[in-house]
Amino acid sequence: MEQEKKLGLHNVISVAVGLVIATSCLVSLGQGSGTIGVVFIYAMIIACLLNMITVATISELNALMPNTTGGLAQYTLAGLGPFPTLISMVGGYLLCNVLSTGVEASIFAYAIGDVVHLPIPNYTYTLIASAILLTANLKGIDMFAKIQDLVAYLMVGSMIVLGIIGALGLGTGTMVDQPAVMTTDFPTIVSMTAVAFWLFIGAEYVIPISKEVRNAKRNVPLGMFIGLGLICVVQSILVFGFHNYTPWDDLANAPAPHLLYGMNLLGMPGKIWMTLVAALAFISTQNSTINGLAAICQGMAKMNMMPQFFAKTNRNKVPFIGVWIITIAILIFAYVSSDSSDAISFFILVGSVFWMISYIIAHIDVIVLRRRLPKAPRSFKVPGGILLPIIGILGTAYMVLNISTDPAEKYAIWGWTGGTFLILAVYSFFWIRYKMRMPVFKPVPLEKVMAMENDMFYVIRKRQGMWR
Amino acid sequence: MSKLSKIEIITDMSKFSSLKAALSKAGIGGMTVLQVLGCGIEKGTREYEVDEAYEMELLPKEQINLVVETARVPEIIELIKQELYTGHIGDGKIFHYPIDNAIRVRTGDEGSEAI
Repeated sequence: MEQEKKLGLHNVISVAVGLVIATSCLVSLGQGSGTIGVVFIYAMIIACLLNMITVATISELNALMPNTTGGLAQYTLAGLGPFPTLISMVGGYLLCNVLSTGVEASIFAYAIGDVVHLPIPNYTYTLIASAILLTANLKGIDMFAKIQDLVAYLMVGSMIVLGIIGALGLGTGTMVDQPAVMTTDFPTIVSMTAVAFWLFIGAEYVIPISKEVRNAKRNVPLGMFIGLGLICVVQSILVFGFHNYTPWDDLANAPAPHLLYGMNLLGMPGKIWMTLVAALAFISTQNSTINGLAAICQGMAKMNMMPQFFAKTNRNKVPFIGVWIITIAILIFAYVSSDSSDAISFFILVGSVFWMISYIIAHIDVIVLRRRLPKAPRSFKVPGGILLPIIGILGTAYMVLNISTDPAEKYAIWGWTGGTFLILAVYSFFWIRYKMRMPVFKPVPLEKVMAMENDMFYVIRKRQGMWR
Repeated sequence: MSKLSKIEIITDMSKFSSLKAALSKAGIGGMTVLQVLGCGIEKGTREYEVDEAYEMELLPKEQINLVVETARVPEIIELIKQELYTGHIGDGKIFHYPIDNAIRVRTGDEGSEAI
């Protein structure tokens, strides 16, 4: 029997918006608009368009290789081979997600500490939230699955309401008299696209629900496009609100600009409102990260791309070792970035670079697979041939090269990224050569990649001694 | 009288109901379905196996026969391709060839009027 498809276009939009908007987006929004004023909206539009190209690229890859568990891992394995796959998945996805969730956790802890005022370190709040989420995940309870939509609506609704109140000057706080535009230098504005990019990252997480979406070939890409456009509009309204109620300098330097804005706009009620919404958003983000990344690690272990202990499950069928490792890694990054706006912005930018590199690889996958399998049916194709993926590669590479206006910070980000990728490259080379016993740089035929979805693929190769 | 073609699809049984729904939506007037045994160039080897089977192993499949106006063949084939595609081995094969005529016995209609 064919499964009944329950989700429509509006569900796709709400999932896309809910997954993209996280608390850390508000930090980037504050930092970006605090640095150059309302012209940050131009940078947001450029970043939004580039992300729309990425969404189109990922939709085409999903059309070519539907219903895969690892997503980008499988696309890249077929397009470019195991070496870039391991690097982009471990670096671009796993590390980046752990990093960004750690940053989210530290913003959450700071926000709660700022409102509650108990004589305990802020980090304690992160530990408590993580312990609850760890226990729930180990027991296989997805406690937020049902309220994730509600959290998304609450977050976006609050942003719209607070944005409109601020933009129209209807707040109870004191209005700030400051210039709307801090720079008219176009290259400076364009260089802020790297900061703006973070506001739109992650729409591809909609892909796994495409199996349950009615008329998925139309609704999934369209929902992601509309979602990104909506985010751009909502955040633009907030920038106008920032202009009226928050001094640009304070905004750029605040570890939690949304709290500052809430406070300046409506006093303590505004601050508590933003804290509650951000807390819900953080808990749902960390829950999805623990859940999702443990599943990705499990899937990669199935393909023999990660140690087999990631595939081990407890009696609740949860890949418990992955759940533990990811929770601990999130706590480490949360500790490193706690209470420091500089560390938070720095780690957001490092995470952005990892993510951008995985997007560049996705664009290359599309071009390679168009050449290799020109006639394979694709229910969605990026329009305009390979022009848009090329624009996507160039635009994203430009943002990596201009990740920060401060040269010292830029080199530090490149250093972190380069170092991480070098370590990953050494690990990947030896892992593929000696554990997977596969040619390191040779792409795997698409049908073989699809066959890896079957549990028997690993079992048979292990039994025959082909894989260790 | 417009020309007619026969489209013959051999695919996995699990895909039949969604294909039938898509073809109905595209205005296809009728089909004949047979349960068959067969294999393709992989000789029935399962996709996760390491070595190809030495001897052909015949797997249960569904054969769906349609007769359509030749002018609609490219459109219908594109629809079938999109519907059957999963990227996995065993998605199926499509054959099409011209036929001379079709006759509805009850009315005596011929050609496109008969389908």
